[in-house]
Amino acid sequence: MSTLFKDRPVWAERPSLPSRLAKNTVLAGIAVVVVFPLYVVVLTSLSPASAVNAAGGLVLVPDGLSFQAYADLFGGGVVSRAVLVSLGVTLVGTLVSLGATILAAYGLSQPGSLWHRPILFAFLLTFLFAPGMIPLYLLVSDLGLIDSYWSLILPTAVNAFNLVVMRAFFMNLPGEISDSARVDGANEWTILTRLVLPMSKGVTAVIGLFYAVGYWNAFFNAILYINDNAKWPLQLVLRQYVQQGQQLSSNSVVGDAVQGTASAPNLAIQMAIVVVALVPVTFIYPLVQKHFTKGVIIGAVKG
Amino acid sequence: MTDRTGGAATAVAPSPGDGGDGGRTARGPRRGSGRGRGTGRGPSFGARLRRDWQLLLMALPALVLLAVFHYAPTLGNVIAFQNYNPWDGVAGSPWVGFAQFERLFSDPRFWSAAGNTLTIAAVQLVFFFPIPIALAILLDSVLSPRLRLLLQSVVYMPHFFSWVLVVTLFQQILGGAGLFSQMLRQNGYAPLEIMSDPDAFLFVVTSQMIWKDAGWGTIIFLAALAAINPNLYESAAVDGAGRWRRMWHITLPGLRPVIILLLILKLGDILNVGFEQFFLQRDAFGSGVSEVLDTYIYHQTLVTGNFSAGAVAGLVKGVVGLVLILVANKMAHRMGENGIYRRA
Amino acid sequence: MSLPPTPAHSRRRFLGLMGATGATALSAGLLSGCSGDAGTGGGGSASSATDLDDLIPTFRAFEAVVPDIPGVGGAPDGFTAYPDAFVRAAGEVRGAGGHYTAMTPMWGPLPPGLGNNSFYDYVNERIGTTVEFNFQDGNTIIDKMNAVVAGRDVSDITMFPDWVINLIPQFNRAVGELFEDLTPYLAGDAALAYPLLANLDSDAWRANVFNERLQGIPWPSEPFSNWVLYRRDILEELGLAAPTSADELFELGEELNDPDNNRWAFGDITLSARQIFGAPRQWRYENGELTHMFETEEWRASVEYMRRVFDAGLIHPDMVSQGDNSKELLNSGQILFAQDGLGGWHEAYSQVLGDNPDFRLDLMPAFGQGGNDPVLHRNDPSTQSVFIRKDMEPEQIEEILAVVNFCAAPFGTQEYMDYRYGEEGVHHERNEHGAPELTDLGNSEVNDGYYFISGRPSAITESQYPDFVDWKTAWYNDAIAYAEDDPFAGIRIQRPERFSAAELPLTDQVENIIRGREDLSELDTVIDDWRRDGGEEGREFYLEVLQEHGRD
Repeated sequence: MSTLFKDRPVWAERPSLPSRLAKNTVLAGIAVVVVFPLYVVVLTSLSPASAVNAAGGLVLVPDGLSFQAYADLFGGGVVSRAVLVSLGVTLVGTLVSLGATILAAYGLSQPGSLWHRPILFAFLLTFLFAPGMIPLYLLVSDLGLIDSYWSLILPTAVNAFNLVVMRAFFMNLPGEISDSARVDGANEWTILTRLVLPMSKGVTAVIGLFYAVGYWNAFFNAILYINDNAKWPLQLVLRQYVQQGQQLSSNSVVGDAVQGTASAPNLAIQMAIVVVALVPVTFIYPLVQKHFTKGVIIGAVKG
Repeated sequence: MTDRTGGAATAVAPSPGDGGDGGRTARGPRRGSGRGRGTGRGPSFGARLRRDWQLLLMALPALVLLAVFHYAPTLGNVIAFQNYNPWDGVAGSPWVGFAQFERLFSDPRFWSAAGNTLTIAAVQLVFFFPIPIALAILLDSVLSPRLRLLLQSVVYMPHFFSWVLVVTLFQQILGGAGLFSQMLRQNGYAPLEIMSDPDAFLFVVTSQMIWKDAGWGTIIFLAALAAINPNLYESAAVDGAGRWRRMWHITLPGLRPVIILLLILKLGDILNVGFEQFFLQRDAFGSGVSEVLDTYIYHQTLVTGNFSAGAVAGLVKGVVGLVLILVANKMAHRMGENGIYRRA
Repeated sequence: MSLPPTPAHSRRRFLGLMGATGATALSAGLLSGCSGDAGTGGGGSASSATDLDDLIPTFRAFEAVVPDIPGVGGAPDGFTAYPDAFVRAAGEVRGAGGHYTAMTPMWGPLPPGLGNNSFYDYVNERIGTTVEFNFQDGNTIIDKMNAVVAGRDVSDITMFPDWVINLIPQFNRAVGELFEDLTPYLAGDAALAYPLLANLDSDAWRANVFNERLQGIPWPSEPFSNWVLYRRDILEELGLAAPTSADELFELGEELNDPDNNRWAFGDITLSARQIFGAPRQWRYENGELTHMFETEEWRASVEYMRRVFDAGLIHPDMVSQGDNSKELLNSGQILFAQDGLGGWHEAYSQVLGDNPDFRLDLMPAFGQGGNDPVLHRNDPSTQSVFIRKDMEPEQIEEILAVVNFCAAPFGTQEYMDYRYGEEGVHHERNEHGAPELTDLGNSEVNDGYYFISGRPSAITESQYPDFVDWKTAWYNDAIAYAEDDPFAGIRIQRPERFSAAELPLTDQVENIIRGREDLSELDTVIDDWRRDGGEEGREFYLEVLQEHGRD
C-alpha cells in the first residue's frame, strides 16, 4: 500500500480507507478479467498435444509444457521474413500517415483560415462514405501497385478520424503562443515544428500508435493487392496457419499432406500466433505513454 | 458561445468568449493585420490566400492521398443505382435508378436488421461509450507510475484479440459447457445459458465489446488527462475542493472537448456496429436479435452476387451518419462546444 | 474455432449451412448466354443442352496401379499399403523448361517461396518446367477472385474452387475472355497425349465445359462430402454398438450424454439427419413436378428430429457458436458424434494418434428411419477447376498441360509421391508401413501447390493409420448403394437472385425452431413465405432447365 501512495502529491488529501479499498478492488477485478484470458491464451500456446486434445478447446489448467507451436511457426523462415515486411510497412506507413496527418491537422487548425471548413468537411466525408472493394482494387491495379508495398500503405494512409482528433488537440493548445510567434515573423512550418509539435507529443504518440497498430494488424489489403507470397505481411502469413483442415470441401485434402508426427496441435499454433502478434504490442505502449505531455491543456480554474 | 463559463474549458486564451470561435481567437494577427474569423467579415480572398497559402499547402498531401485512394474509388458507389456486376464494371452495367433502394427498403428483413443495429448502437452509446472515460480516470488516479503503466498496458491488450478468439473465450468461460457452467453443474446447480439466450444478447455483446475495446479506448483520454495542468488541481485543493469536486470541475471539463468530439464522430459511425461479432454469434442467439445491417448486406451480396445492395447500404449509412454528425455538431455549438468544426 | 477472425471463416460456415440446399449446385454443362439477361442479373441462368461428349477427353483408365480394395458402384478404391516400388506414369510427357505462375487458394501454412524451397526445385526439375506459386488466402478466396476477375489479372495457371465459380457474377462470360479454350488440346482422342488427364472421370470433365468449350481441368471428387463421424473407441469401450436407425441414434445419445462429466452425445448433425430421413439435396423431381427439400415430409421429419435432440440436451452447448470447435471436441471425447467432411477423419488421426494410439473414429453406418433407406446426397463430380490464361502460345499451353498431366498422377505412381511428398530421403522418409512421413525439411517446404493444379481419381490411401483404409472402404462400399443424384447433376446453374435470397430467412427460422426459440408450427408459415419470396420463381426456373435439357 505504501508504494501506492508515496507518489501522492503533497496537496492531495489522503484517500479514505473505504475509497481506497473500493478503488483497489475494482482495479484488481479489471486486472483479473483481462489477465485470465491472456493467461489461457499463453498457456494453450505452450501446451503439448496431449493437453490440448484432452481439453477439447483452450487449455485452462496447465498440463505439460511444449514450445513446439513456436518452433513450428518459426521453422520455415517464412514467418521471420514476414516480420520484416510488417515492420517495414508499419514503419514507413506510420511515418507517411503521421506526416500527412500532422500537416493537414495543423493546416486546418487555425481559426478562420481560408477554406478550412470545406476541406475539413471533405476529409470528414471519407469517414462516412467508403469505397467498395472492387473499385479500389481496380484503381490499385491501374496504378500498377499490385505487388508493391505501397499498396499496403497509400490506400489507408490518411484516416479522417485520426486527423480530426489530432486537429482538436492542436486547437486546444493555447493560441496566443503561435499568434505571438507569427507577430515575430515565424512562418507556419516553424510554428508547427518548433511550437506546436513539442507541445503535442502526447497526441502525436497516440495517433502514431493508432496508425502503427492499423498497419501492423492489416491483412485484407495484402490479400487483395499482394500476389507474391514473399511480400506478405506477418498477419497474413499467420492467418494461413489457422486454416489447416478448414478447407471447404472434404476433397481438398490439405490435412492429408502427412505431417511429421512432431507437429503441434492446431489450437496451440493458433494461440502461439496470438501471442506472437501481441509481443510487439506489449513493448509499444510504454513508449507511447512516455510522451504524454503534462499540462499543455490550460484549463480555467474552478467554476 | 460565452456560456462556456462554468468551465474550465480548454485553452482559455486571449479574448475569451469571443463569439463563434469557442473561446479562442480567430486566426490571430500577423504583421499587425486583424484576421477575420468568419468567412464573411474577413479580408479579401486574395489577401486570405496570401496569408494562408502555407496552411493550404500543408493540407495538400493528405488531400491528394484521399482524392486518389478514396474519392476516386468512392465514385464507384454509383453502382447503387445500377444492376452492377464486376465483370461488366460501372461502364457496362445497366442503370436502374432507385430500384435497388426500393428493393432494399421493401424488404422487412432490412428494417429488422436496421432496428437491431439501432438498438445495439444505442446500447453501445449509453453503456460502452462512457466506460473508457471512467476507466481512464480510474487508471490515471493510480498514483504509482509503474503500476499505472503496467495496468494501462495490460487493459488495452484484448483489443488485439480477434473476435473469433473473444467469442471463443467467452464461450469457454461463460458458455453452457464453459468453466462456470461446469462448476455449477458439479455443485448441483443449473448451468449458465446466457451465451445462447436471445434475451441476454445485448448484455453479452456489450460485455464482449467492453472487454475487448474499453482498455484501448482509454488511450486517447489518458493522453488528454495527462495534458491537464496539474497546477489546477493543486490550487483547487488549496481552495478546499475535495477529490470529487476536483474531478467535476477540472478533470471532466479538461476532457470535455475530446469527449464531445469522439461522441460526434461515434454518431457518424453509429450504424457500423461491427460485423464479425454478430456474424459469429448468429446461430447462437438467432438472427432475430443478431442480424445487423452489415450481416444483412453481407448475405445479400454473397448469396445473390448483388454488389449494388452493399453500395446502397453504404450510401444510406453514410447519409444517416452525415445527418447525425451535422445535428450533433450543431447541438455541441449550442452547448458552447467546438464539436468537429466551429460554426461560422 | 479459427483465428484470426475472418469473415471468411464465417463465410465458409455459412456455406456449410446452406450446403445441402445446394449453394453449390454443380454441373457439367454448356452455358449458353443465360436466359438473355446477362447484364440484368436476377434471372438466373443455366446451360443449354448439347451433346457434351464431343468436347470432353476420351476416357482411358490408367491401369498400372491396382487397388487392394476396389470401390464398388463408384465408391473410391482403397489401398491398404504403399507399394514398395512406384510406377512411373507421365512417360515422356514433360515440360520444356518454361516458367509459369500459378495462383491457387491455400488452406495451410505458407511454404518458403521459389528460390528458397528445395521441394519446388525438386518437383520442377522432375516436371521439366518451373512453376511459381502465388498462394492466396483460402478463407477470403471469393473476395480475391472477384477482384482478380474484375481486374482481368489472372495468372498463367489459376485454380478456382467450384463454390467460388458459382458465386462470381457472370463467371460464364468471364471464363471465355480470360482463359484459353482447351477443346483443341483435349477433346476426344487429343487427350490421349496426356494419359493421366485421360484417366480423369468424364462427368468431372463435363462440369468444365462452359459456353460449349472445354475450359477447365477438373478435380474429380469423392461421391460423398460429409457424414457423421463417431468415437468408435469410446463406444466399444462402453460395449455399445453403432446405431442402425434414427431412433437408435437418439436412444444411444441419451445413454451417452453426461454433461456432469463434460460429455455430450452430439455435435451438429443437421445435414446428416436430412439424409437419414431421406430428404433430397435440393429438388426432387417426380411425376413431372419439382418438390423442394423444404416442402418434403422427410425434411420436416428431420427438423422435428433435430428439435427433439436439442430439447433432450444431447447437443454440446458450444455448437451454437459459429466458430464451433467440433473437431477438437470430438478429439477430446467431449462429443461422441459429429458431422464433418469425410476428410476430417484422417485429419483427426494426424492430430491425435501420436498422443493417443487407441483413438479410433469411424463413419456412422448409413441408415434410414422407419425401415426406409437413407438418401445420401451425391457430391458434385468436380469440386474445383484449373484454368489456363488466354493468349499464350500453343507450345506454352501444351507445356502447361504437361505440368497438369504430371500433377494428375494417381496414388501409387512415382509422380504422385513427388508432387505430394517431395524427394525420398530429403523431404520424406518412409516409415515401417512404407508410408511417407515428412522430414523437418519436408514439414516446412512441402505444400499442396502441385496437388491443387490438377485433379486425380479419388482414392482411400491413408494406410499409415490403423484400420483406416479398411473401415473407410467398408463404409463407402455399403453407403454407395444409397447415393442419390441431384436431378440437375451436370448442369451449371446460376440461381435466380430471388430464389437464393429467399433461402436465408427460411434457414434462419429453421435454426430458431431446432434450437427451441420458435415453435415447430412456424414451419408452415416460413415455407409459405419462402414460396412467395422466391421459391415458386425458383421452381419455374428449374423446371425450364429440366425441359431445356430434355430431362423432364
